[in-house]
Amino acid sequence: MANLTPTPKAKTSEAISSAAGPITFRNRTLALFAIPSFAVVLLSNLSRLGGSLIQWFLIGCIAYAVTIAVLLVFRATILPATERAPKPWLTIIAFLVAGSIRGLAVWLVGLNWGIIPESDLLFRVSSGFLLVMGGMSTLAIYEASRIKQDDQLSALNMQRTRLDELRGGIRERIRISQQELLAKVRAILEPIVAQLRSDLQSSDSQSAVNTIQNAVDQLIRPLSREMGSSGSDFEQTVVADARAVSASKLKSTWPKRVQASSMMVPALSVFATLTTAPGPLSLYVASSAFFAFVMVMLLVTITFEFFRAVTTRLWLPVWLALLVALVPALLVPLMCKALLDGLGWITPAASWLQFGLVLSLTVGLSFLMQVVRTQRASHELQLKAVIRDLSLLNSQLRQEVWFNRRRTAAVLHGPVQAALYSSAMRIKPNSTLQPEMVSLIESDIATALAKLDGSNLVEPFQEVLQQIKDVWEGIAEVSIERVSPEVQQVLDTNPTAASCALEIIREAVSNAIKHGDASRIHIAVEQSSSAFIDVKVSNDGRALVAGSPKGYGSEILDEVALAWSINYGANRVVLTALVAIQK
Amino acid sequence: MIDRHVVVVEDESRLRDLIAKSLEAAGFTVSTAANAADAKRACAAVDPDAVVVDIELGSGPNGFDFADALSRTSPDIGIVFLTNLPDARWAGRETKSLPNNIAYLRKSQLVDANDLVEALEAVLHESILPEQRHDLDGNRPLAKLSRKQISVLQQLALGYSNAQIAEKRGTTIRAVEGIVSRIFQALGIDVQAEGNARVEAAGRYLQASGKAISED
Repeated sequence: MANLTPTPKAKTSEAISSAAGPITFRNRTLALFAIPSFAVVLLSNLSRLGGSLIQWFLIGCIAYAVTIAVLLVFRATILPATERAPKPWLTIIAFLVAGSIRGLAVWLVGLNWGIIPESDLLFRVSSGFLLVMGGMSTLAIYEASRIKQDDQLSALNMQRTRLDELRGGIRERIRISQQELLAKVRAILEPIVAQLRSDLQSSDSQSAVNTIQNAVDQLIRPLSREMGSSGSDFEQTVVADARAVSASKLKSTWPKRVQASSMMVPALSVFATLTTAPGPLSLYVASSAFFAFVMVMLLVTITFEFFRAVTTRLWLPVWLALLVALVPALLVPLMCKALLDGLGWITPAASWLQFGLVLSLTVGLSFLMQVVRTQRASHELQLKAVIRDLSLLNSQLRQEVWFNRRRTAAVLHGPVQAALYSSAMRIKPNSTLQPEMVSLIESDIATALAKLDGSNLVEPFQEVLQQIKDVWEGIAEVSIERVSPEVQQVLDTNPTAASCALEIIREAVSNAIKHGDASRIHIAVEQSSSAFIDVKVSNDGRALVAGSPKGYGSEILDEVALAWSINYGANRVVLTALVAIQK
Repeated sequence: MIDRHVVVVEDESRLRDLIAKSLEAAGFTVSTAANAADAKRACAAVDPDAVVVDIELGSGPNGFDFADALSRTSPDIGIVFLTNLPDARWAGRETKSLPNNIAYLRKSQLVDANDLVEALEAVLHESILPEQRHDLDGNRPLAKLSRKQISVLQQLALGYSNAQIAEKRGTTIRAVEGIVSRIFQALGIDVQAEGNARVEAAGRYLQASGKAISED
């Protein structure tokens, strides 16, 4: 059942804080309360007290209107529906006041119409309170669960959109941006070369030297503006646009199968019993009401818990799970009536029908709540997966931006600057310029410019690893674990990841020797996932002082690694970094 | 003249050849290397009197790594850094962490090859002049900024917001705002003027570093 999502267990503390929170007083919850409010009035009274359906419907309207009016007064004064902390005691007071006034109103109207006896007052007032508390609390718990699910879905939507966008557009934008950057650099260099040619032809060596010295500034300034103004801004714009377009892409779907036992919440059924049973029991078996109530409570608890226990291994389609969950709600009233009748406490069947209906409604609502919780759990899992992918892609993008800049920089400030500087050094000793010098310098610059087309500037991975080892030979013994052919293949086809891994290794080795006085360093490059390669650099040097400020090394690690950590073991310091692989 | 051996470490072949020729013309025996590992081998082979080393040497160990390794095994070899970087802070190093007996020349300031020869002579005779330490020149780009400010400026040039910089540095946004404000002040950037002060600051950084960001 690996593809099935378990339903999280309902927590009592979470339920209490939902019932006592602002959600209880929101319009939607108040509107939903109409269902139990009308159901109880219509089903419990007609058969017992007579009167017409219209009369009881009108009493139901009055009961609902009075309850809502009182709750609205509380909402407008001390229990706002806006964001606030749960207030359990004040909420209970609100239920008590609303329920009591509701009961009083029902009793007064019913008495006036001659369909409710005078002796019903206490029953009406107490059951009104219990109904409002039970109904409103249950609905608030359900609503809280639904709202959390909506939030979760919205978060998942947003992250998925971001992920899709990162997978597609942004990488392409970076590539295009890089091409545009290179085109601009080329456009900047061309007039410099033309000026240089003109200077050389006029045999003005000092002017030529000045042109060359100015070239770097003229080349770098526009480039720096380009780099300073791009980057994160355009990423944000693209993501925001994509988010707006596909905001409604993801919809909540019902789970295919659910664990039958998880869809039952016995506590809610017990709560429903607690709020509906005392009234009728006190009416019909007044002298033994307490014992009868204890019997009913025990029977409800045992039956629901028993059904939950025996259905633990059942993963059923939603509709079938609902039927299974309703079985104890239908069985309990029959069992209660049989038990009480057996004990000589005769109660009318209509009351148990009403009780069965209340239990069924509660079971249905709990079931819905658990479906929503299952959906939420499923979305949470999806969200985690999306966020994991997102962080991987973010890392890849950071690498790509870093690598592109480094590559452009390597060309601009390597071959191009070298050509310019060496030209200046060639010209300087000559007071007059020789014609052949013109073509020589032009050739140098043209060759350097050709490299802007993106020649492969990445040195072979193993060669650079060997360079790192050789440089520190005699100072520290650097050993390199054999890189497997599979990892080598990944590195060969992924120059960005290879370059990032080398930067991490170079920095780690250099820091271990410089700051930790390491004498033995071991480098290992492995692949534990198809998404990233693992770089591990361990050494026998000193541990760095905890809390030391973040330095260049950690900044570079933040930039190019998906995640990294330093662990201090027995005489070993181990840097572990994950480098994302471009797909 | 006593034969003196110099190893030139420069990854750009044109410049490397030109420097080598200039030094040979000045009477030095020259070996060349394109990266730090080759330079280490060359030093082991010829036991030079001095090295002329670029800081940026491609994907592998950089010039500072090489100089660190060299000064541990052969502390008597003179070192002349010949680089695009205004000073060591641009590669994440403190200037004071560099060995004392070094010359530091910026490529953009070095048009006459004689300046390099003079710097080499100075390190060989341990008589380095202030003008042979471009990294200590008060007029060098962004000389007024501290290493921390340069680090923040680098992140600003990368396009990070103050909040992102704060997260990366493990500090508060307010602290970063203070640093950025002091950077603008030190660079004389008018935050009220037309244009984006952050872009202007990023431009100054890249212009001064003579290289793109995130490169060591």
